[in-house]
This record gives sequence, structure tokens and C-alpha cells, in this order.
Amino acid sequence: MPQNLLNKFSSDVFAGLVAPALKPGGLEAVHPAFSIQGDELTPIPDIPEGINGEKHYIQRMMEDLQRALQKPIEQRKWGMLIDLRKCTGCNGCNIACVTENKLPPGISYRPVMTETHGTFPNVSRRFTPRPCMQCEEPPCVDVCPVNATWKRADGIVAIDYDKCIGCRYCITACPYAARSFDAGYFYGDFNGGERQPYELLPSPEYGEERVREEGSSPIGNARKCNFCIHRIERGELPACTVSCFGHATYFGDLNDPQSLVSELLSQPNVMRLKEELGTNPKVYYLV
Amino acid sequence: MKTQNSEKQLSRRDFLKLSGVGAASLAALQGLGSGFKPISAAAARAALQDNAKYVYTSCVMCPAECGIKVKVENGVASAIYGNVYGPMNTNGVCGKGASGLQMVYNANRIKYPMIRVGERGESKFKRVSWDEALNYIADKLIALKKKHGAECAIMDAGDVTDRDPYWYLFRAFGSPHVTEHGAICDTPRRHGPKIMFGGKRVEPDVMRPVLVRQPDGSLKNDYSYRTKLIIYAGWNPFTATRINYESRGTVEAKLAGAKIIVIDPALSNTATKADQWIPIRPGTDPDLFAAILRYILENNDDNDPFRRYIDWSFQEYSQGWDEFLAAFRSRWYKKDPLNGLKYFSLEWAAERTGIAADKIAELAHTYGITKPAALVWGMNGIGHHYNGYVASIIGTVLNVITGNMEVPGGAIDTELVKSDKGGKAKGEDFVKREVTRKVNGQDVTGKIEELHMDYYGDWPAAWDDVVGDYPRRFLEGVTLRYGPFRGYKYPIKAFFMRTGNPVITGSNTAHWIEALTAKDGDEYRVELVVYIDTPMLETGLYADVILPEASYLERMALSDIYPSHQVIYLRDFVIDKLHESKTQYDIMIALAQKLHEKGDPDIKPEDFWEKFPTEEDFWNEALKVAPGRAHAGVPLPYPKYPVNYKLIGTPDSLESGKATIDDEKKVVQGEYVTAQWLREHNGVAIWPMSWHRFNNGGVLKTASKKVEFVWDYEVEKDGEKKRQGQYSKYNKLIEAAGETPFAIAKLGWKKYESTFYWFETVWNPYTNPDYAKYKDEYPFQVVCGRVHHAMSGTQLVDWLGRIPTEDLWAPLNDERVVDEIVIGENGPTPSGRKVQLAKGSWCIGVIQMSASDGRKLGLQTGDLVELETPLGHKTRGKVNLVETIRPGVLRVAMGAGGRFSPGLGLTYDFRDVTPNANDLTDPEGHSPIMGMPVYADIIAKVKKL
Amino acid sequence: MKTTEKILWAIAGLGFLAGLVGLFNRITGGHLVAAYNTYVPWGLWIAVYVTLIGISVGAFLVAALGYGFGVKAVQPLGKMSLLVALAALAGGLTSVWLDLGRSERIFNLFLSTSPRSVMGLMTWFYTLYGILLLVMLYLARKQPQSFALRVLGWIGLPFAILFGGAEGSLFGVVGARALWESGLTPILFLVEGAFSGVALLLFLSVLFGEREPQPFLRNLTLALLFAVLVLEASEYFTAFYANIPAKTASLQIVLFGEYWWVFWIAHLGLGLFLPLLLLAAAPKNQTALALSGALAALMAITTKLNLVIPALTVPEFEGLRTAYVGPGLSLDYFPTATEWLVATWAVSLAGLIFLAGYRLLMGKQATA
Ligand SMILES: Nc1nc2c(c(=O)[nH]1)N[C@H]1C(S)=C(S)[C@@H](COP(=O)(O)OP(=O)(O)OC[C@H]3O[C@@H](n4cnc5c(=O)[nH]c(N)nc54)[C@H](O)[C@@H]3O)O[C@H]1N2
Ligand SMILES: Nc1nc2c(c(=O)[nH]1)N[C@H]1C(S)=C(S)[C@@H](COP(=O)(O)OP(=O)(O)OC[C@H]3O[C@@H](n4cnc5c(=O)[nH]c(N)nc54)[C@H](O)[C@@H]3O)O[C@H]1N2
Ligand code: SF4
Ligand code: SF4
Ligand code: SF4
Ligand code: SF4
Ligand code: SF4
Ligand SMILES: [Mo]
Repeated sequence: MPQNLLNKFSSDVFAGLVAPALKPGGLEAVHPAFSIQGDELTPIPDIPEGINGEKHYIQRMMEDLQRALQKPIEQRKWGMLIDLRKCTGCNGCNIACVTENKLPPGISYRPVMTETHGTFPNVSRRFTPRPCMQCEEPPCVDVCPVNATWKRADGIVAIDYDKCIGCRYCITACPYAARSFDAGYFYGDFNGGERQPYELLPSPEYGEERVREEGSSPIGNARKCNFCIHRIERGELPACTVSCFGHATYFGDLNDPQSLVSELLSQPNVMRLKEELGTNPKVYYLV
Repeated sequence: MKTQNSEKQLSRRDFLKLSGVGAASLAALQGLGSGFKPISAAAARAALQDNAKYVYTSCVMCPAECGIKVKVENGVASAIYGNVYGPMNTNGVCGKGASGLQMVYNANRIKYPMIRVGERGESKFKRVSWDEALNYIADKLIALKKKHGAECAIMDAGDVTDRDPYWYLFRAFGSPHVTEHGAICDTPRRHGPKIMFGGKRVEPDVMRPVLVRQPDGSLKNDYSYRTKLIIYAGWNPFTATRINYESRGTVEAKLAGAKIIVIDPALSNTATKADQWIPIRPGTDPDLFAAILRYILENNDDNDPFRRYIDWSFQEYSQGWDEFLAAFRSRWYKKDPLNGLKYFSLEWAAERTGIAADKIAELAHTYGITKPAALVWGMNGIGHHYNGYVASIIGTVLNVITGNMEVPGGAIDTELVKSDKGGKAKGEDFVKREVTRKVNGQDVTGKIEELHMDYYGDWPAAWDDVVGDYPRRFLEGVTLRYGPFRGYKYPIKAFFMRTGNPVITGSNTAHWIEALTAKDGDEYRVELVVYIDTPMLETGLYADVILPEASYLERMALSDIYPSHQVIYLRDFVIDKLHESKTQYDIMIALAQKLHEKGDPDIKPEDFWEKFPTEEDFWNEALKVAPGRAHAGVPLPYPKYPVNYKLIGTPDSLESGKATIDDEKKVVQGEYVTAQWLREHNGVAIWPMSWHRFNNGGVLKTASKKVEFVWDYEVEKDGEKKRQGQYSKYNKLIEAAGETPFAIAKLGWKKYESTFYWFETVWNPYTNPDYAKYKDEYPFQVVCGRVHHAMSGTQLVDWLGRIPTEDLWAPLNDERVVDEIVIGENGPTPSGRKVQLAKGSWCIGVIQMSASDGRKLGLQTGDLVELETPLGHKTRGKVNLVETIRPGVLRVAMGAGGRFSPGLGLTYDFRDVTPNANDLTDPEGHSPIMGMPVYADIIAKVKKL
Repeated sequence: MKTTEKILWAIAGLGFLAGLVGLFNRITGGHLVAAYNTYVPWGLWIAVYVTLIGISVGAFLVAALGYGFGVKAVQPLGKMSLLVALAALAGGLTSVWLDLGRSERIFNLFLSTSPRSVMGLMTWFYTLYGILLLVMLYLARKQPQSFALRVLGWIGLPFAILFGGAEGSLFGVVGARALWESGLTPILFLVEGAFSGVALLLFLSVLFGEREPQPFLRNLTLALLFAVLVLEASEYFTAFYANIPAKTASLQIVLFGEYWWVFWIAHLGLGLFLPLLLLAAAPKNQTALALSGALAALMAITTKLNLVIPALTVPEFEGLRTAYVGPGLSLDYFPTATEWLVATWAVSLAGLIFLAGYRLLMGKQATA
């Protein structure tokens, strides 16, 4: 055990010293990712072909995603694109994420922010859904004192719930407010006192199924959007993406120039939030 | 800044009780729940496959009824996604739709049948068995029927459309009064399309994909947007998701080059995406529409490509244009007494609408010149005003004469092209039965439907009923003035309210309460009130019997959707029925059995349990008419079948030719659509889209099979003169009776006008001279808007309470510790828990007010004010001072405030500081043609509390 | 036992007992009992923690001056200052320990330290520092004249400076919070810590009748007070001058927000100007010295509160205010009763440790 500890510690120190070039590699050594087999993937829906041969965008993105899954994990780079011109502020993605990830009261991985500018009658309003940016240079990872937050080989910033001590340093460090503290509320607290049936089900957490209850993680931990790893790995799109009422959310492999996200990203009207901080987000916005 | 959650008041129970979920699944759950068990992704996938399933069904969180896919884990519905196979919403769900779980599993669901033990409104109930509840209802119904006739009973199926079993039952029982929410929703808005096309809902052609027959014979999805302009007047599909594809379709069309204009006093979510937001003065949309029409008529030049507004091809499929035009023109030479300006002139409209004359001209020109385009109007903008009909008619005329109806990228009357459903399962045959009544001492025989209070009462043209006027009917009874039963009087003695909450939604709240609690001696005037619903809303507090209806995930039905072509979604069983709830079918059969047992002669086993042994049989009957539309348009959906024949049957049977052609009835009959067929096809049936479906009659439902600009006219057929047109039927009744309906008499009419008409709205000091005197004392117009909640029925859903919307629904709650009340065995019961709510953590209905008005009144956001109308009606709420609304206008969220049913959880707890718009509604305010409540014609003054 | 000591025991004991209620709530209610949340993830307990660590560093500086650098004046206070440093460290760590979402995983800090995290590094610093304090205390009692003690004093001083600075860089490195992200933050932390620690010793010197070190402590306190003033002024002025919106927004909250009085009255008035006046006007007056020392030490918490909370109450995006709302999604923070009680408990615990240590180490002396 001490020997292990030392090894790990020194490797991290080393990783820290040679950062940033070697940073991601250094971390993966510690946290293996799950492997995928093609035959376990969710079938792609069969929708009539478009008149110009085009596909339903969900089909197209699922194909992109499943193609990416055939590559080794370190060659994938998941990214999201949200077309703010199309977002109607319906909050479908927000609640779809809440139910998908069985989030407790007060936690939303993808709130839809509303910003209003101007004075009557020259007023404008914009809706900005805000998942985790899955930063390439994530400030949340650096501050975590126990290595509970780490960046996977595919670029998703993950949290090891069993390591996390709940110090909330990462919450203060995330410039996007993308991290939440799970203080331990249940919907039953606000409605009848008893846990609601869907709160008793295990929820998918970074490849594990966990039942959320007092005294066990993720209560007391930091939590955040994880790009629905559990869905991606089944060959499905993240819940917010499939549910997006305005068809404003796109998802796929940024390393794949053929993917729909990559294609859309080539447009000039792409931006990212707080670009100046150098966090290098993998969530892009079309404006 | 306040202390939050300062103490742990929330009780924690280690014992987890899963109400209603089977013991087996509970055990399975607990098995999974043993701490945290890290498993690999592959194992997680396997686990998901073992314990989870997906069910395709359709949403009811709002009337859009999207196709959805529900994840069920261990028997518990755990997530809701869109159904990617359905073309309307395809993969998407909105926030409400995704929140359905909290409707289904809410602690405030009605769990058992209950019977009232206190007075109405006291909310004292006791739990009874289904048998007791049904005995009570059946005994009472039979006694009432003996005394007053079955017409004394009303079955109102509120806002949720899958109500056929109830309609079937009540029509069989002998009542003509079966209704749903249309009568308090938007009848004036639908009026233009209704009288001109026989349709109802004009929507832009932006639903994509649409399945279209290709020149090579294949069927392919068309994803292209051809629309160049959409004008939404008082219609906010981004928030009020009635026609769900309009949210994404509008932005997609915009990205494809369309211009979007939104006419709304407030910056609605739809307006946020508009190229132009026109903050109009409320209640003046007819004026704007009329000015546009006049501008187009006056400035059209067929020879100038920049002024060629009118597409005369509409004359091929219409009739009566000259009469309409003459009537319209005759008015524009007259002067408006209010401002001395000529009607429909730009200056006149500018004066009234508060929009500059040149802007109106520009709008008219843009609309005239940009094609394809669609002009679309909504409820609060038009449907809820006294004179909404006028705007609806002019709007429809505009869409027709500019050549935009039924062209690709133009406007579509979805009512005419959606799939038919219901058929015999609606029970319409029952009301064709003859009955005899004693009228002034004489026996008169007629059809049950001729006893209908609306067809033959004050609003003979109210083809969607007059729910808003029920309070007066409850108090005064019905006196038939037209038709065979002229002179017959009967009281309303039984009121069944299913999935609707008229005490909050159906016009003035106090008036409804008065009517439901009025007594004759010891007995309530309406002797039997039954409330059937999933949650417990205010109307339930006034019921004698409460029946728990299965939620939309626990029952079967067909969705009621408005696509651009024929599509049907199945509503299917997703989870087991929770608590003691029953489906509509269960309730229909059980009550029918009781009535039969107790000797009701009209309820026959062969019409009920023998005919429909299972729930699925009932819905299969309803599907027998699907899709049931004329085979019309370009490209023709099935080139192999004759044009204008009615198509019936599954898409695949029609496609493969497994169909018979009946030339006499003009029907192409394939294999019936069934629930099982739908289930096997991802819950969806889709028939091909086409355009130009008005040509040669097509899908039009008028007598002439043309678009009609005249609504009461004569034709000669086989040497015989015949009255035709949508108003002719009513005018004949009026003429025969020699009595003008009181509501149109107020307009100075003798009968319904046969073509263009005009009248002013009420309670609008800026357009109606009778109300001009209120301008200074009551400086505010009060309008409504939707939030991410559906009407008055979803405010118990926690998630939706956390989503601020359109400055109407805002986290302005103060900190409170409240004694929780939940719906228990005996109705609302204190749970003994205290629930603590931190400041700013819950949205409440607020009064949206212009910041400049707020400054003038010395108000700040969060201040509590009282609104008072000239009639002395009052409500209160906190103001939200914003830049997103026209000065002089106040906007409140429909159904969000003053909610006094304890079954609404946190929303109930803030009833003292939130406004109920219908506390202000004029109880006498009904629009003249169909009696729809005029929710939107309100003026008020503001007092700080 | 002197009356003063008895009174101190009584106060600390009462605080400890009252705090137990809070502790009970915290243990049974988890984090639902606290007002810190997702948007304002750190609150009173973190402020108490950094304040006590600051005091510890300040007290240690005095000890290091005495033992390591032979400053005669403070030598009589040697053990006491080490004791203060140890007690404050223990109290501070208790406070942050209870603040952890999953307190039982405290050992992960050692088992899985991330060297890239200031907090991770601090774990080991605290451990070393704690050991250093214990060893020095042992030596101070057993071999007060030993060379080892002197060496430890030498090493200890830069270590404490580094340590105080590192504490500051916990905040200083957080780029997401404009108010914190500043090169000055570590220095400010160090100086403020030293100020509060020295001031506390000044207070204790009066209580325990140690007159000898007082002039030195008074001067040191004054000097540090000036340093604090200069640093704070430059921090505020440059911020307003540079006008980084998020930073000025936080400062606006500090200076003119709902809790403006915390800055103007508690921090500036009671924590800096009143001590300044007292120390300047009545350099020998025991009451004045005690009062100014106590005020300066007590008000140290205001500096930290004003550092921790306003930085967090400015949302990362304005639009978050009108996005999803719910428990924990509030930008208003005010500690709950339980938080106050637990904070009281942690501080009282430090007090009791100090008093018990005082009995143990200086018992004879004290009773004599
Ligand atoms: N989220 C949600 N969706 C719903 C419903 C719901 O309750 N919630 N209800 C469903 C039902 S039953 C219906 S009928 C539809 C309603 O659909 P809509 O009619 O689109 O909805 P509203 O929000 O009632 O009104 C639309 C807009 O009219 C504006 N308005 C008010 N007065 C005037 C006026 O005088 N002139 C003009 N031009 N605009 C005005 C309001 O500011 C508001 O933004 O929505 C359906 N969908
Ligand atoms: N002032 C003002 N008044 C208005 C309006 C306005 O804008 N302003 N709008 C008007 C309009 S457009 C309309 S349509 C009416 C609507 O008014 P109503 O027809 O009274 O509709 P609600 O009761 O409000 O809402 C829908 C019903 O569906 C039920 N429901 C939802 N889900 C389920 C389920 O799973 N199972 C069952 N069984 N029931 C379910 C809810 O309990 C609720 O009773 O209000 C009108 N009133
Ligand atoms: S957005 Fe925040 S939580 Fe997500 S990776 Fe970046 S810093 Fe970390
Ligand atoms: S809260 Fe958890 S993940 Fe975040 S920094 Fe602390 S230990 Fe790391
Ligand atoms: S990717 Fe998944 S976890 Fe992230 S916001 Fe979307 S639904 Fe939520
Ligand atoms: S679901 Fe799509 S359209 Fe709706 S709020 Fe989310 S991103 Fe916007
Ligand atoms: S629009 Fe209405 S029907 Fe569609 S998902 Fe939302 S709530 Fe359900
Ligand atoms: Mo409606």
C-alpha cells in the first residue's frame, strides 16, 4: 500500500512537472476507461430517407457516435454544439437531463440561462443552455486535492464519487458554475415526505449504477454533467441532445471531420463561453 | 438575503414506501439498492436491458400531445423522451413533457374515490370504495333523469382530449351536453377558418419532416423549409406549445431565410426569435388586420411585381368574394366616432393599435409581397377578446387572397388535414335518438341533440358549447328558444367535470363558486357534482364525488394532434394504474353497469361491455375512421387511388394496395388501423403529405366544397332553392322562432350576418367609445400569457416550479415554513410535516409590468399590489418590473396564481401573494357569437399594498 | 487558577456546549442544515478555518521570533504562542473538516493527494506544521535553551511565511473568481494572519499578566495594522481603477451591499481604526491593549467573510439568476443557526485546547 501510494504520488508529481504536454496521459494511467463492443450498441432508428438523400439529424449523429466508438478511446474527443439561434428556452433539455441522471432538487446539469438586454421597445433576450464545458484545460481538475476529478482520455471530465471528499473547491474553481453540491435533498422533501419512486431507482453515474441515499455518494459530493457517458457508451446520444425540442443541440466526435458537429463547427459564427480564460471548452455555441 | 434551510425540518423516513408499485418491483428495487455497486458499462447495459423497457405513447402534459418514449425501470417510469419516429415533435420533448413523472407520481394525486362530507368548498371528504361512489352517482343520475330528463346532466371533459368513453356514456344515457375545453379556449380564434373552410386551426407549413410522394413513386421525407414569412399575432408557440413543431419549425424556417414577425404586447419567447417584435396595444389586433387588408386591397397592382399582393387564383376555389369585398369597403368610408378617422385607414389603425402608421404600411406590404407566408393568431391575442371573430375572419381572408393557403411553405388548416378519429366511439348516434318532452302542456318530439342548450339557447351558433356560461345555466336553468323544443325549460342538475378546472379557468372564479354552491332550500341547485381527474384542483373542492382517473401513463387512448397531414399517435399503457385509479374506459363501463343494474333503459349491454370487452376494443372502434380525409392535393398521396375519395386504413395497407375502392361511397378502404398496429409501428401512423388540398373541393368541409366568403346564401339545386353557408342553419332557426339571440341583439343584429361584419371589443377604452370614460381611472389593460405549465393543472409539479418563464413566473417567493397538506384518504390532509422554502427558490405567478410604469407608481420589483377593475373585481400579486412589456399593459400567468386547492403543494402556499386573472374576469363577459369568456378584455387600476 | 483563566474556561466551555447542538445537527442532518450551496459553495466554516489558520501563523511568528531569532521581548510568551498556534490550527482544521461534504473521507487527502492542488499540498503542510508545533512545544517545555529549538524556529519562520502565503494562494489561484485571483491575495493573507495572531497574543499577554512583551507586541501589531491598511487600500483602489466587472461587483457587495456594515463598522471601524486609536493613544493602558488585541483578533473573521462570500455571490453568468432555481441555487448567503453554532464550537474547541495546554504546560507556573 505505501509503495502503491508512493508510485501513484510520484507519477502524479511527475505528470504535474511535465504538464501540460503529458497531463492527460498521466491521469489515464490511473483511471482505466470502459471498453466498448460494437454489437452491444443501440440500434439506430429507421426513418424514411430525405428527398435529397439526407438523414434525420438524430440518425446522422448516432451514426457518427457509433463510428467514433469503434476507435480507441484516446482518439475520440466528444464535443457538443448548441445553436443559440434555435434554442427556444423550453427547458426540455434541462429536465430531460434531470430525469436521465436522476438529479435531486436543486441540481441541474444544464440550466437554461436567460439574459435580457435593452430597454423597451428595443429589447432582446437570449437563452443559453449551460452543460459542463468539458474543458480541455479544466480548472476544476487542477484544484481537486484528492484527484477525484479527472479528465478521461475521450476528454470527458469525470468525478470519482468514492474519492471525492466534498470540499467544493472545484465548484469555486469552475468558471461556468457547471458543478453542483449534492446537499442531500429529495423531491419527497417538498412533496409528501416520502421518496418518489423514480428517486429510488439507481442512477447511472460514470459507468456505475448507484442508488442515492443518505450516507452514500453522491450525496455530499460535487456533481456535474458528464455528457451522459452511460448513454454514449451504449451508442446513444446524451439525453439533452435527443430531447432538444428546438433541435438546437448537437453532439459528436470533434476528432472526426465527417461528424455533423465538426461540419457545423466549421461555420464562422461559432463561439465558446469565457474563451479568454483559456479553459478550452468542448461545448460550442452557434450565434 | 436570508437564512436558508436553517434547521432540518424535513423529516426523513428510513422506511421507503412505494405507493402503488408492486411488491415484486419493490423487492427488485431494494435488491439493486444495496449501497453502491460499481459495475462495468457492459454490465450496466445488460442491467438496463433486463430491468428497463421503453414504451411509445403520447404526452398529455399539454394539449400538443407529442409522441413520447417513456423509460420504465423496474415498473417505474423514470424518464421521458420524444418519439423520434413521430414527425411532429420527432425526438424532442419540452420541459413540461419531460416533467410528466412528477405528475404521475405526485403525492397530491387523487388516490381513492371520495365522497364529500362537509359543505361544498370546505374540502372535507371521506374515502369510499368504487362501488359506493358509483352507486351514489348512479342513484342520483337515475333520479335526476326521471325528474328532469337526461339533458339536466353535463359531461365536461376539460382540457384532456381522450374523452370519448365519457362522451359515449353520457350520450347513451341521453344527454346532449358533452363538451371539452374548446369552449373556454379559443372559439373566436377558430371562427374564420370554421365558417370559411369548415376547419379551425390555421398554422404555418413548418412541420418537418413531412412524408411526400416522389416523382419516382417512392415516399421520402421532405426536410426543406419554403416559408418566407410568418406573422404570429398573440400566439406564442415557444412557450404555449400548442402546435409543438412551430417552435423548431419557426427557427428552422428563419435560418432558411424566412422573416418572423411577432405581434404581442410582451416580449414572448417567440418574440425573442423574431426579426421584428411589434408590441401592440391589447385588443386591437382586428384593427391591425383590417388595416392590412385595406392596404392590400387599395394598393394591389396586378401589373407591378412589387405590388402584386393578391393571388387571384384563390377565386378558383372560393365563392362570395365580391359580397365580402363590398361589405368590407362599405365600412372604410365611415368615420370612427372615437377618433374621427376613416375605418381601416392606416392613421385610424395607428391611433388604435399604438403602432405607427408607416410601420403598419410596411407590415402590410411585407405580408402582401412575401410569399409563401402565413399569418397566425392565438388565444390571448385574439381568441380571448369579445371581437376575436372579426380578426379571425380577416386573418383567414388575408391568408386566402394572398394565395398562401395550402401552398408549400404557406398556411395550412390543420383541422382539415389531421387524421379523423373517434367515429362511432364518440356516441354521436345516441343523440340522434328521438325523445318527447312536454312543452307548454304539449308533447313535442325531437332529437336529443335538439335539446342542446347552446344550439338552441342564447348562443345558437356555439358549436363548441358555452362552458364559460355554465354558471348562469346552473343558476337559471335552460330555456330553449329555437328548434322543435322552443319554449322548453330545464334545469342543470348534474355536472361532471373531468380533467378541467373551470373554477380557475372557466371565466370569473367567484361566479363559478357561486353557481356551484347555490342552494334551493337545503339542496344544492346543481344536485350532483362529480370531479374526475388525476390531481386535485379547485373545482374538485366543490364536488360531491371525486373519482381518481389514471394518469396518462396508465391509460390508453389516441392523441389529438394538429400536424400538416394525417398522423396519429397511440397513447398506451406504460405503467400499472397507481393507487385506486381507473381509466376512462374502466369508469365508463363501471358506471354503465351500475346504471344498467339500477334500471336505466338507455344503457344496453350490447352498446357497452358486450361491444367493447376490452379497452383496446374501444379504441380500435375509434380508429376505424382513420385517417378519413379526402385523397387530395399535389403530389397526390397515393396516385393509384381516385382523387377526393376518402382514405381509410393503415398506411401500409394503402401503400401496398390491400384496399378496396367503393365508387358509390367514394371510399378507399384498407385495413383498419388498430392499437396493435400502432404499437408495432413505434406508436405512430403516418400518411403522406400533399399541398393544394383546397382545389376541386379537396379537404374543404363547406357545403359548396369551396372557400366561402359568404355564410348564408341560396343555391339552386335541381330547381330547388337551398340555404347554405355556415350561419344559414342558425339563421333559419332564428327566423322560424322570430327571436334574435340576446348576445347578437346587443350588436344591433337581427340574425347572423351573411358576410363581413365588424364590432368593437368590450372593456377597451382605446377602441370602444362606451368604455373611453375609464381611460384615466383604470390606466392598465390586463392580459394573460402561458408559462412552462399547462393551464391550471400542472402547478403541483416541482420541476416546473423551478423554471422562471417570460417574466411572468419568477422566483420572487419570500422565505416560508409551511404546514404541508397532501391529498390523503379523506381529501386534503395536513401531513404533519413542515416544509421550508428558501427565498428565491420557487417560482410564483407575478404581475409583469413595464419598468417605466413602475417608476411612475413608485414601485419596485417584488412589491405587492392590488389590481381592481371598474366592476370592483380584485386580485393581488407582486410586480415584476421589466423592459419586456408595453407600458400600460399588465400581464399575468394563466393558472399560476391565487391557487387555493391544497392539492397544489408549494403553489398553494403562495396563494396570498399571487394573482388569479380570473378573479378579474367580467362574469357577464362572453363574446357574442359563441359565448366564449372574454378573459383578455380587462382594465384595472393598481394600488400598492 | 486565576479568575481570568476561570472566565476563559467558562466562556470556552459554554461555547463548546452550545456548539454541540450545532454539531449534532450537522451530524444528523448532513449538509441540509447549512446555507452554503451550489452557487455559494463556501461559507462561514471556511471563513472560520482561514481565520484560525491566520491566527495560528501569526502566533507562530511570535514564537519563531522568540526562539529562533532571540527576540528577548517575546520570549516569555514563547510557549503560549506555540500553544495558540496549535490550538488555532486544530480549531481551524476541525471547522474545515466539518465543512467537507464527506468528512469521513478525510484520509483521502493523504492517500490520494493531488500535488497540483493547493489544497492537496496544504494537507501535507498542515501535517508538517502540526508536527513542528508539537515538537517545538515539547522542546520549549523540556529543553527551552536547546539548539534544536532555535533551529526549528529558524526553519519555522520561512515555513510559516510560505504556509501563510499558500493559504492565500488557495484562493489566489482560482481564476474563476475575480475577487480572489490576484497576486496580492497570498501576501494579504500572510499579513492579515500575522496581524490577527500577534494581536491575539497581545490580548493574552494582558490577560495572563505578561507585561514584558507588551511594548514589542504593541509595536508589531501597529506595524502589521498599517501593512494591512496599505495592502487593502491598494487592492481596492487598483480593483476599482482597473474596473474588472466581476471584481468590482464583488467589491461593491463588500462596500455597499446588504452587509456593508461588516466592512465599514466591524472590519474597518472595530477591527482596524479602533485598535489603531487605542494603541496609539494609550500604549501602556492594560485595558486599551487588551481591547485592541481582542478586537483585532475577533474582527479577523470579517476580513475572511468578506473575502469568501462576496466573491461567490457574484454569479458566473448573470443569466443564472433567472435559470433553474431551487434549494442550493441561491446567490444569497447568510449562515444558518447551525452554522453559527458549529463555528462557535470549533472556536471554543480551540479555546479549550489552548486552556488545557496552558494548564498542562504551564500549570505549575500558572498556579504559582
Ligand atoms: N406551456 C403551455 N403550453 C400550452 C398551454 C399552457 O397552459 N402552457 N395551453 C395550451 C392551450 S389550451 C392553448 S389555448 C394555447 C395558447 O396558446 P397562445 O395563445 O399562444 O398562448 P398565450 O400565452 O395565452 O397567449 C399568447 C400571447 O398573447 C399575448 N397577448 C395578450 N393579449 C394580446 C393582444 O391583445 N394582442 C396580441 N397580439 N397579443 C396578446 C400574450 O402576451 C401572449 O404572449 O397553448 C397551449 N399550450
Ligand atoms: N384568464 C384566463 N383564463 C383562461 C385562459 C387564459 O389565458 N386566461 N385560457 C383559457 C384556455 S385557452 C383554456 S384551454 C382553458 C383551460 O382550462 P381547463 O380546461 O380547465 O384546463 P386545466 O384544468 O387548467 O388543465 C388541464 C387538466 O388536465 C389534467 N391532467 C393533466 N395530466 C393529466 C393526466 O395524466 N390525467 C388526467 N386525468 N388529467 C390530467 C389536469 O389535472 C387538469 O385538470 O382555460 C381558459 N382560461
Ligand atoms: S466547465 Fe467547469 S466543471 Fe466542466 S470541465 Fe470546465 S471547469 Fe470543469
Ligand atoms: S468536491 Fe470532490 S471533486 Fe471537487 S475538489 Fe473537492 S474532492 Fe475534488
Ligand atoms: S450531456 Fe447528459 S449530463 Fe450533460 S447536460 Fe446533457 S443530459 Fe445532462
Ligand atoms: S431543449 Fe433545446 S430548445 Fe429547449 S431549452 Fe434546451 S436547448 Fe433550448
Ligand atoms: S409540447 Fe406539450 S405535449 Fe409536447 S412534450 Fe411538451 S408538454 Fe408534452
Ligand atoms: Mo386553450
